[in-house]
Amino acid sequence: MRNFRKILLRVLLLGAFLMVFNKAVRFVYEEPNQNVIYTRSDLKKSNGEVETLILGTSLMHWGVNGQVLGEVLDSPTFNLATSSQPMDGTYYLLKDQIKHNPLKRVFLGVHVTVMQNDTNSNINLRRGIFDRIQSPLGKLEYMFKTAEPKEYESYLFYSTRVDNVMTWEVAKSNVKYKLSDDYRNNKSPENSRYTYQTMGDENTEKIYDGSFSVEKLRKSTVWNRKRLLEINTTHLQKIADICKKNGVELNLVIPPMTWEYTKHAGDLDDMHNYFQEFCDENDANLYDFTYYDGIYDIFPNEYFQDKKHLNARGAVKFAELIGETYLEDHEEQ
Amino acid sequence: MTVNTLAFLLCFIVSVILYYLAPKKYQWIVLLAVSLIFYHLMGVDNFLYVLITTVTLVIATGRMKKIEDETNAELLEKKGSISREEKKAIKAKGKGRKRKWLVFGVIVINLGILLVLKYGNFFIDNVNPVLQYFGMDGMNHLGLVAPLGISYYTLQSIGYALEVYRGKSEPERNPFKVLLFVTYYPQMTQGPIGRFPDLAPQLYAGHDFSYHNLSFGFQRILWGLFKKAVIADHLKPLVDTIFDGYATANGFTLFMGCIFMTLQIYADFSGYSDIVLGVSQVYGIEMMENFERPFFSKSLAEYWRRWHISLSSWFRDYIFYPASISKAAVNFSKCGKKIFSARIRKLFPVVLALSIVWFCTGFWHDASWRYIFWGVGNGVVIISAIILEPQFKKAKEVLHIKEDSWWWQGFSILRTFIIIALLKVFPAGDTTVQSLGIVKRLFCNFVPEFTRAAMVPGMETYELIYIAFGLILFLCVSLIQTRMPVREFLASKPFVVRWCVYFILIAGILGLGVFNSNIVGGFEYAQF
Repeated sequence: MRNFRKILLRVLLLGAFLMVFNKAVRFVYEEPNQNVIYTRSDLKKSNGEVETLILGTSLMHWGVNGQVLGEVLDSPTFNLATSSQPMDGTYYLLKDQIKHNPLKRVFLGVHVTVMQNDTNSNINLRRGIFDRIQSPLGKLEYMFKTAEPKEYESYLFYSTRVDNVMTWEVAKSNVKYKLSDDYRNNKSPENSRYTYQTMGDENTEKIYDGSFSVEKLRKSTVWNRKRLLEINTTHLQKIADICKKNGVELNLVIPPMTWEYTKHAGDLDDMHNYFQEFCDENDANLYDFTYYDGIYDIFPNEYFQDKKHLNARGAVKFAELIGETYLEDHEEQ
Repeated sequence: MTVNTLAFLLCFIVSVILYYLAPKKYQWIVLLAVSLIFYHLMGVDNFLYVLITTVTLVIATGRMKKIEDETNAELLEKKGSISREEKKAIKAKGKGRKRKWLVFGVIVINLGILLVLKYGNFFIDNVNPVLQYFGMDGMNHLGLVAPLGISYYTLQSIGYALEVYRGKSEPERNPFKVLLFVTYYPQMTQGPIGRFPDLAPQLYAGHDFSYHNLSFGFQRILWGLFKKAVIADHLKPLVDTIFDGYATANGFTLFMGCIFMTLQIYADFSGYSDIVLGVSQVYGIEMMENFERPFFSKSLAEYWRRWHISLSSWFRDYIFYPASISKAAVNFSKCGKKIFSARIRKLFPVVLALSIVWFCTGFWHDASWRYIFWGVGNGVVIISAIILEPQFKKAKEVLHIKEDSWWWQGFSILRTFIIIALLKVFPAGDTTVQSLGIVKRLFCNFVPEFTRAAMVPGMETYELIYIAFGLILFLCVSLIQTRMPVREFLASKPFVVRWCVYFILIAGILGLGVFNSNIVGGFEYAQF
């Protein structure tokens, strides 16, 4: 018993040290222009309130202004989409959010790359999901399901992600910024490419200049049912199942893109049919804005930051469009 | 899963809890189960070879014991009625042919498996050119994969059979206990190569939980992790950069590469050994030390008594001693009386035994000529030192060099380190051709150039700071060790001081250690 107490005391001491060390390293090295800091803090603050959740890749992250959508729907909304969000990551994020919030509906962005890209193999993207999962058990489940044993350290300890501990200039500017009012008010630093707003929303004023390179297109950006990855289709199904089980309405959204990009994206009718069949089988709704009437007039290049991502203006407009379409759809029903 | 991962640490902690919760007489079963699970988690699915080794050991040692018992029974029966000579003859008969065949069988089967799996393709590669020269078709490579740790557990198992044969050890009859001796997970993949009389009784005995063992064990694991993550894994990219670009490199840069490689391998291998010894200590099992500050050695022979001790002592006991008193060596000494001087006749058995040992040492490390060259290189230096000893002694007298003077000792340590580093040039390349290319450039293009680009190419300042921090700490610990055991020294300090040291090490491992999953990986010696 004496040994047990002795060991317990030391385990607690070690745990406390690791916690403090991890927080200290995050404080010094986690760069504020990675707006995940604010997302995490807002996630914590909004626990118990969020009814509408936006999930998916950068198409939804930058493409939908969650606050505008929330106003249209009259429902507290959080944008939890992230760049190249792996579909299994989306599932675990949703699972975690269901525990923390009275979710009513989810808007999940889907497109060619979402189903055909193997983003699950990118450790940085997976760690991004790990950081956004709130419950410790949820984090552990996600880690054990998605990480290899040799990656556990880098999931759990931020210090193992810092490549350059001795870059004092970065550390100095980080600390200086984090001690300022801007940080307390969730205001992105001036050098940030994207400006954080609130509840996960971030955007840019940048306008697409029309320069489009067909050579840069990869196979994974052209729709082909044969190239759908099993890990993505399996987790899309899991998302539908968990939504059904918890009474959360699942809405799949195919966001608008520039005409130059869309015309090289393959057989989008087939893509539409694929997702429509999925929705029919799983009591979900599909909002496909690819061929929405006059979509290229509604969203000209001024509303894009590049060939496929909407900018700040586009995100507001698209949020209004989704919200209104959703309401119309539900009034009809 | 390697021992330098958090996953291993978590599994290890669970295994320790299960081990101490189990009744003492069943603790070895927990250890066996854990060993087999870890062996599987470390990437081994094929247990066939381990089972063959175990079965051969059980049958051969059991049979040897039976013969010994029969001999003893015969002696007991005839006690008082037989002469001394008859008694000797019965004993010799018992020890004779049958037991020899049994131990020979164990060696042939286990060494055979090792030779086929690890060295099969090497032999084929070397025989094929000869076959082709005579117009015959070459042989295809064997599609066999050597299981992890085969070089280590084969030597350990052969050692056990020889101990039983020599009557120095009682054989274990329970095959599962023998399986535990063969597969005990901390040491299975990289040693230390355990000796049955020391290790087995500890594995089979029950152990009470000891806070002292837990604390000292974890201290050692922590220190091993620090050496691996902060020193070895930061030096590895530097060593790779230097030797990958050997074709255009200055010989001086390659020389620096040899020095860094020497430090890297020491930090890597001794780090692993520290983890293994720490893990075992937590179970209450004391394993053989594998290193004793080898870079403080004043000669290459001394270095090999302090580096990879379990391997060098294995070669000493089971190859060097038998070879030096072998019939060939003794006959030479007898026959050469008229031709050779007494000194040469005295040296011959030693030189013969050392030549065999060093060839085997090189060959054991890897199935390649570069490692054979490396082993032979070590042998040449050690044998030369023995042969030229009188000349060296004379030279020291002429130059008034006092062996116990501090500067001579310092010089000897430095000289030995440089020799060790230069010999590392042989295994530096990925292939023998590459290694020979490195040797050529090292000696033919040597231009001292004390610039950063020449000494530490491709290294950022911060990486050099990490390595320097690690090496300085390593040196301090080694210096303390020369006076007293470091953990005893630490235990004598107040709680706060002790925990500050732990925190510094943990922060060092997490903050400065290499954790990039693409870089961090297995230990260098696991490949042998």
